[in-house]
Amino acid sequence: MANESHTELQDRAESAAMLHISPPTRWDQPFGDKQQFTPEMVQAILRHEPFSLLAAENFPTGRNFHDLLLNDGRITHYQRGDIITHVGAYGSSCFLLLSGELRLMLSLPEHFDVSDKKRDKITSVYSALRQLWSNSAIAERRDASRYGKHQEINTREADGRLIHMVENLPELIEAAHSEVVESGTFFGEISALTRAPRAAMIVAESDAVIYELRWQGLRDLRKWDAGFRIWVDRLLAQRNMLPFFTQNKILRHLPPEQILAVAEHASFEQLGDTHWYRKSGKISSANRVNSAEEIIMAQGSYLDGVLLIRGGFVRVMESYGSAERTIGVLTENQMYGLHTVLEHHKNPQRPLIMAHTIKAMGYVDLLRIPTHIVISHILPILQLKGLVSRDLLEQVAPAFEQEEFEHRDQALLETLLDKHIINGTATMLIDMDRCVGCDDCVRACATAHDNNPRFIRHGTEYANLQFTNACMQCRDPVCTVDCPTGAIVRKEGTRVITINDTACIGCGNCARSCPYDNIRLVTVSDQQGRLLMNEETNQPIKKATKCDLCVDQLGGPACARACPHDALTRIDTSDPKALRQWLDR
Amino acid sequence: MAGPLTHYFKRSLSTTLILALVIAGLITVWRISDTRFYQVSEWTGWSLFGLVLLLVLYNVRKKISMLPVGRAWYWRRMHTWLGWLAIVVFVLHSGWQPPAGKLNFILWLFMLIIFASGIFGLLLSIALPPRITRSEGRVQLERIPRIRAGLLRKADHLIARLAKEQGSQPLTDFYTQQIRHYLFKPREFAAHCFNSANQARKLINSLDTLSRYIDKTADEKAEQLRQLIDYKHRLDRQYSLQFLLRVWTYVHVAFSISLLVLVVLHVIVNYAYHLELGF
Repeated sequence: MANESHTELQDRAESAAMLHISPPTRWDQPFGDKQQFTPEMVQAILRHEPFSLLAAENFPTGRNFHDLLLNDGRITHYQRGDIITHVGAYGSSCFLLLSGELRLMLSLPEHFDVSDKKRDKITSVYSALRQLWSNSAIAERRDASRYGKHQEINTREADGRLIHMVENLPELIEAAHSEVVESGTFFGEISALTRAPRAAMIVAESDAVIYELRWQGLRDLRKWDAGFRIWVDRLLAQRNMLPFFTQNKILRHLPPEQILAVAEHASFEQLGDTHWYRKSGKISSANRVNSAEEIIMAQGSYLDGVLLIRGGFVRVMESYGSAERTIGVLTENQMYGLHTVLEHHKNPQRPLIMAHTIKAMGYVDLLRIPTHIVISHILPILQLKGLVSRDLLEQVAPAFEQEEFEHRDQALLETLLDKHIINGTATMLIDMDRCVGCDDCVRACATAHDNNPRFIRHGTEYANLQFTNACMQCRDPVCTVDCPTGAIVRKEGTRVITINDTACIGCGNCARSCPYDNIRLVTVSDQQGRLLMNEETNQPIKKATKCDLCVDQLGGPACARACPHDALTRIDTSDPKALRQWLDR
Repeated sequence: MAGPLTHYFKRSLSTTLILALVIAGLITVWRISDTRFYQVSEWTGWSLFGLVLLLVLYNVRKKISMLPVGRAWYWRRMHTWLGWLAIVVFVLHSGWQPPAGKLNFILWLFMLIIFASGIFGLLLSIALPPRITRSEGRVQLERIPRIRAGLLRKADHLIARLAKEQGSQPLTDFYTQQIRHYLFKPREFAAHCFNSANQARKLINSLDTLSRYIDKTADEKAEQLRQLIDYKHRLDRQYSLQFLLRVWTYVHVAFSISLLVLVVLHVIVNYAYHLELGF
């Protein structure tokens, strides 16, 4: 039978119905331009740490780190004034400065700041009231004088890419608090490894040559070469470990020297697919996130370490019938395994066995602390300080016990996970059993945004709940990843994702990336209602718009405050207790 | 309907008790005042005027959504409970009989309409949303005319392609005489509110009977028409329930605004009368 099929296939192959092509490979489309980035240039990169630590014998047969550096990296020639990273933007690559000097801008004067400082100011009572009579009848009205010539930041095209540049660099350096970045410095690894927004703007102070390595390459180098991994992880620990531990409600109590000791043994891991949203398409009632979920640890296996989630979501499952069912989800700053290690520490007869299967939902960035390090370095201090209270443990490192699970709505949980709605920190949730369709929420939103509502009362539904098409202010804001200008960023110190209208070039990358269809591109008009047109292409100028959670309004989101039937809320959908509380209200 | 209402009153139990105590206190004060020959109508009148102003404030709150003056949900609850209180004060003020004089009678009638529409609206806002949710095909009220027009276009297009064929004559006739009329605009408004609309069922039954007189091609189109009729039926139900849920507010708000003017007139007329200014 098998032979027959093979023969049939051969016959068909010989016929004209089939076309033979070489199979697609990883580097069919390298990160950079192969013409400009030659193997000789790789040698220059290998002179600098951490790349100088790479050893060919650490890589398996068929894997060559030269190929990896060549295909997952690119060389960019920056000119004086070019911006390498924008503060708040999401980057997925790290950099090595090969020549020249850069400036790390620790603070920026207001007029240089890409973030929209004007929007940071909370409206006064008078200006809030003034919206009653000053809001425009013209849809999407803009002050056209803010666009174009008055910008301090300009653009140029180089190597087929749009590069932003500061118009007046000496003035910026004088006005800002900055540090010099010297040749040979390796930077940007925090964003590349942890999917955190860039912490600062970096500008070329002189003409500079920079090697940029995308995260896939960085991941593989760390995977195969221990020396490289230790160097990068140590740098990450130095620059990032202390702030990360202080965000964790349990680990923040460790003394700094103990944190560094833990960091020595901990390993950073990235699982899943950082671009899960590209494969899923738009998520609708009929469409779930279609990405394979990578198993992190399987039920019944040995628990070799406690996991700290730094980013993304971890699905916790247990065997049920002939398959597995989801019993919970973990997100950033939460831990898995601490409960089991504690039980084992109290009673060594209890085995260190995984009680659940845990999987990376889309993408997960985590820190694995070996079990023996948890026992020797963390537990004694936590017990000494009397911190291992049941409530705190349940909050930071939930045990997912059976009796708690019995009260959950399994179908709701699966819906939240399947559609990745769990990503929302301020998801608009409408109880349709209470909503009378008065549209007071939409009117309140419009009043707060110059008569332009920033959401549509429509969306994915589950039973009597509607997950409305309003920006959810995601934990993993995939809309920000591909923004070429850094116009869409997370507002510092908050969960709110804002769009700087002046910096937005209307490319639509954010709207395409948003799997929930919550960003809209609109045409804009000037104060007289004239449609703004691109003078070069004669096409209407477009701007991305979305819910900004009324970040510049008094009292927070107007929609939730305006609902007279308590039917609408903005809720963190990854917080099961808050969700349950609202549903049971 | 009993489910959501029971749930509502259970949730409001503590507030209901407090309100009952306030009302009991109010009636006690009223009886004491009445037996001691105080100006009962004066203090009940001014109390009612104050309550009317407080009730109107709810609408003001809706307009100033940009100010952090408390959630509209709390305002609405306050509006509801003050409304119940206003009914009691109104009865104490005017008695159970319609008052003499045209102005007073109109004022009394307006009050009754406002109270009735308010209670009606309250009951609707509790009972209808779950019904709308559980009815298939929930769409926004504003979108319904466009969807209905789309259905009609689709049906017209289906029939236009059949029009010249001999074997489809009964279907095209039936469409022109009855189905098109049904699809053209919302039907059976009241029947949908009471869940007793049956025009779609009748049309579908007629189409079933018609099947024996038409050819296979027309029968296929008839099946598509059945689906369109069924969809229109669900759309009409959505329209009726959602329209009802919205329209009562127009009555309530319009009469409330008129009432404010009448109340001011009522106060002026009464004081003028007492001051013997010749009215």
